[in-house]
Amino acid sequence: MIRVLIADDHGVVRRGLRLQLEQLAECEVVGEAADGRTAVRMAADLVPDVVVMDIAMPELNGIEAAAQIVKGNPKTAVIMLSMHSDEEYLLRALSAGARGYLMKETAEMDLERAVRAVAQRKSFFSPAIQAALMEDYVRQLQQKGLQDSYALLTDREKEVLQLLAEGKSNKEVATALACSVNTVATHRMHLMQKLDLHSTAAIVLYAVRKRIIS
Amino acid sequence: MRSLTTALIGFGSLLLLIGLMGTGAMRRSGALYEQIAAAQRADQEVEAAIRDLPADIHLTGILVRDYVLDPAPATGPVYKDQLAKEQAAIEQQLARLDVLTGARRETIARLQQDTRAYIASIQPMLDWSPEEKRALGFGFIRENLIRRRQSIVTLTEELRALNVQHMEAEGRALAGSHDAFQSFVGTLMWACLGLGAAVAVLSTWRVIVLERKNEVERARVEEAGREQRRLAAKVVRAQEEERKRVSLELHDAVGQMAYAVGMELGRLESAHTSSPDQFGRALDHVRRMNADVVGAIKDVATGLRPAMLDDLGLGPAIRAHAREVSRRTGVPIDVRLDGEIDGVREPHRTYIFRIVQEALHNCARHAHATHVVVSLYGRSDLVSVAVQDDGVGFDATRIPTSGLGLYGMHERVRDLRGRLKVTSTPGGGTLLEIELPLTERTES
Repeated sequence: MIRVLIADDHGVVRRGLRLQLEQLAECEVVGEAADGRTAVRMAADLVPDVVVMDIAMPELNGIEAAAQIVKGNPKTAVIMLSMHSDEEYLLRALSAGARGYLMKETAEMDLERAVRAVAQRKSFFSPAIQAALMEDYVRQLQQKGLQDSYALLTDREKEVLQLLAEGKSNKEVATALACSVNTVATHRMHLMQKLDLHSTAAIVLYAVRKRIIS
Repeated sequence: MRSLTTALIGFGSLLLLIGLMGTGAMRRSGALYEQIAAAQRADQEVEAAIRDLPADIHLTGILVRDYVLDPAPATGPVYKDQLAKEQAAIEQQLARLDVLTGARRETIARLQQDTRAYIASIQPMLDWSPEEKRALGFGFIRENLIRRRQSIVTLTEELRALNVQHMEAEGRALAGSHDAFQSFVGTLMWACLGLGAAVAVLSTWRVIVLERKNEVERARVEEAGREQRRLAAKVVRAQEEERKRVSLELHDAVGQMAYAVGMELGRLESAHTSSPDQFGRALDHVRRMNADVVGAIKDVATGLRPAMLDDLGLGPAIRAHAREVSRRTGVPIDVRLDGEIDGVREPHRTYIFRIVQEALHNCARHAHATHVVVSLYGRSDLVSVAVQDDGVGFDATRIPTSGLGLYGMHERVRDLRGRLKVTSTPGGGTLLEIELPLTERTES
């Protein structure tokens, strides 16, 4: 059973999400919150597996709330709901520890997959935001006359990139690839240098953009 | 302050001078009056003495003649008594002359001497017997008395002449004093007139200067008022245009699209009897149209105020906006953020965003830039913003006043007590620099 907490300041949206989730056999909606602060408190009380949360909320916005929820219980996976396809939102959501990012306009189609994915400790990002990010990325590269440096990565580094982007820790990556944590750390450092990335969130953003993960 | 000092000194010295003139003239005229009065008194004394002395001398002559002619014996003591009275009267006249000085002193001494000698010469004769009187009387009168008397009268005449001379000298001295007095008053008067004229010229000049300054100031204030009204009208027009634009966007884009969604839903209703495949396609179509409506609403809302500014803060909002402008115009825009940018609160956050928005708008619309760099640096007490482009630039000494953009920036910066600097030369690109103090930051 996947226990889900819904947080959105609009009742219509909450009702829509609940109806859709309750149709799934393996989902149980354990609560609804109308603002960020309530969401943090309910997450602490109910310890849900998944929180589906709007970014724009009164009291405490969704990103801040996500950061507090993940900090309080790292096992709780947060899916951000947003109107915005801008990378600033995605980057901030990732920095806050969100594992999924759903565009509201396509949430209806992607919700089930997203909930299932994050419940299995994977990541999920709306195809809509991936398209937007990719378009932006290609344009920026063209404007600056740069080549996509993904081709510079070794196969091993590409594997490490994907696993890290899926939300795995260095240790988990080491286990998956059957090598030492130090080796993973080295690969990680190299790929970050090659791709000019400066944080784990940036790695995930890059992977989302390149559709390495979905 | 300067004119007050000048006026005080000018009018003060003028009043002092007038006061000096008044008291000086009074003092001098008093002295002159004293001088005239003293001269008159002395003159009257002398005149009276000179007038009375010959009369008294004549009286003694008559007394002597009466005594000589008097046939009664032993009348000596009676005449002696009479003579003594006359003598006292004569001495009184002589004493009156003692006030005189100068050249007349010698004549007076002689007059006094002769007069006393004349009186003395009479004394022995009064002790004469009747026989002696008859024998010597007329002879004595003729040879002694008349001669002496004549001498006294002559001396008196001489004294009178001297006195007239003295009077004339005195008159001349008075005339001199009067002239000195007149020249004193004249000098002071001219000084007063001169100083008064100087003060008048200075104050008139000052009044003219102040009036001109006032005129210039008034013109400047009026011009500023006109400019203010012009800009206010422009703001009102701009606001109206903005509303019109938003209304049009809502109506034309959003409204029409929502209307289309409604029509598609109608078609969907009739399509629900058709094949599931067809129905699914129609449903997808409606869904896409609805997504377009949402997108259009989002565009309008973001145009009014980017949600990101409130959701994520200043840095992300500026980065996203720069990307958006870049996407629209094709001009690469580099955003460099340093320090504590996301900690910047309202109203600074919105103001800075609007300023950068306006600057990028200018870069895109007027500058024809090929590259733009936006730099923000945040400190706990200060935010600095720089927008640099490599566009056509303009003459920064003649900042275009027609547009609201730069005016709006200036107003925003002034409102937050900041500093705005535009550096630009034609062909040399434009650099806009802003510094805002963050004094109100702790309050929000």
